[in-house]
Amino acid sequence: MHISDGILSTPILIGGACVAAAGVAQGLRKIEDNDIPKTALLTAAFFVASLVHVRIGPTSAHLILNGMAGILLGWAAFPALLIGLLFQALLFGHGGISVLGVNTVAIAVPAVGAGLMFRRMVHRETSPRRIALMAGLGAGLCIAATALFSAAVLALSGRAWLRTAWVLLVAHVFVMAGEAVLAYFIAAYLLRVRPALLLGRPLAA
Amino acid sequence: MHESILYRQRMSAGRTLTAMILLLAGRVATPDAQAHGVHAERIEGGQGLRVVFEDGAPMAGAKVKVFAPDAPEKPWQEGMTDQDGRFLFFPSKTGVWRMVVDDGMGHAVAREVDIDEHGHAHMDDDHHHHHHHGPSAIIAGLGFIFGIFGLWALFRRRPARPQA
Repeated sequence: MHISDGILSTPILIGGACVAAAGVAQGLRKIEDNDIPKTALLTAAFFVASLVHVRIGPTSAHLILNGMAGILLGWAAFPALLIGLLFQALLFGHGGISVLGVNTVAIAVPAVGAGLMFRRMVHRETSPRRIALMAGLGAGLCIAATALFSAAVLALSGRAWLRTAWVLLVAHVFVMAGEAVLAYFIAAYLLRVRPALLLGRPLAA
Repeated sequence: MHESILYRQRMSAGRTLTAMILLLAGRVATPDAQAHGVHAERIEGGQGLRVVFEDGAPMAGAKVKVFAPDAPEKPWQEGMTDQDGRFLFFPSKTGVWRMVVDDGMGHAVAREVDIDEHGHAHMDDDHHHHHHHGPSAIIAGLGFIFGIFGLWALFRRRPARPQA
């Protein structure tokens, strides 16, 4: 889901950079000292995840892990994903520097959305099973939202929106399922060993 | 009345026959002047690309646009990569030709091929566009990421801890 250099029009690149800057500023404001190691770990996981590929027919999709980042980090997902994308562009050639802002927005906005939704849904939930299921659902939906978001950005630069969205969604069906299952198990594991990391509070009141 | 219809029918049948004979004569007399005559010859070579994703999967069925040296805006030719991610075209003049391959999902590559006056092709450097995703790049990236966050934590924590 990395958009390459040279595809988008300049106003979109600038707009994306501005929105990304605002999101990163908000993330930096919200992040607390104790969250920094967790943020570092998820940035690292996101950075490496893009090398795990899923091939479906002629398309090639990879793990994104933005839903997991959003669920665990909230707004801090913005700076985390920006740093991850920066090093993916520099070291792997995924995406590019000029599209960094747009790619950050396309990946971090659904992530933060999934995170906020997750926090709201598990507000008073005490069943680890249900919380883990919601994490899985959030992570899966986050991939769908990221595909739609990327399609919308491509459409703003003159592509057929519906077709692009459809192609991106189909290409990411397995990624969606994979990340949902992964998020379920990570959430279930965290609830056993350190629920505060996932919920920001102890499991039982 | 009845007779005149018969007469007209016979006349029209005669005209059709005449036209057919003339057409047939034309066909036999001038075989090369046919509008639908098609001749094919075998060709080889061409300039082109093979495009793969970073995991080695070919970018099949991707849209390709070729831009001629003197017209960088309007595509000179449009096409599609084959099952193996390949595309070929035949430059018609010297200069720098630009090929843009785009899979419609946000992945695109642009490469240039320079055709000199002897017809030789020079492609821009392959190494320039190739990224190594070996363990060293992964380790380097992880190092940078943890380093950045480590420094960040260090600078954030320092002033907030006045010792009693």
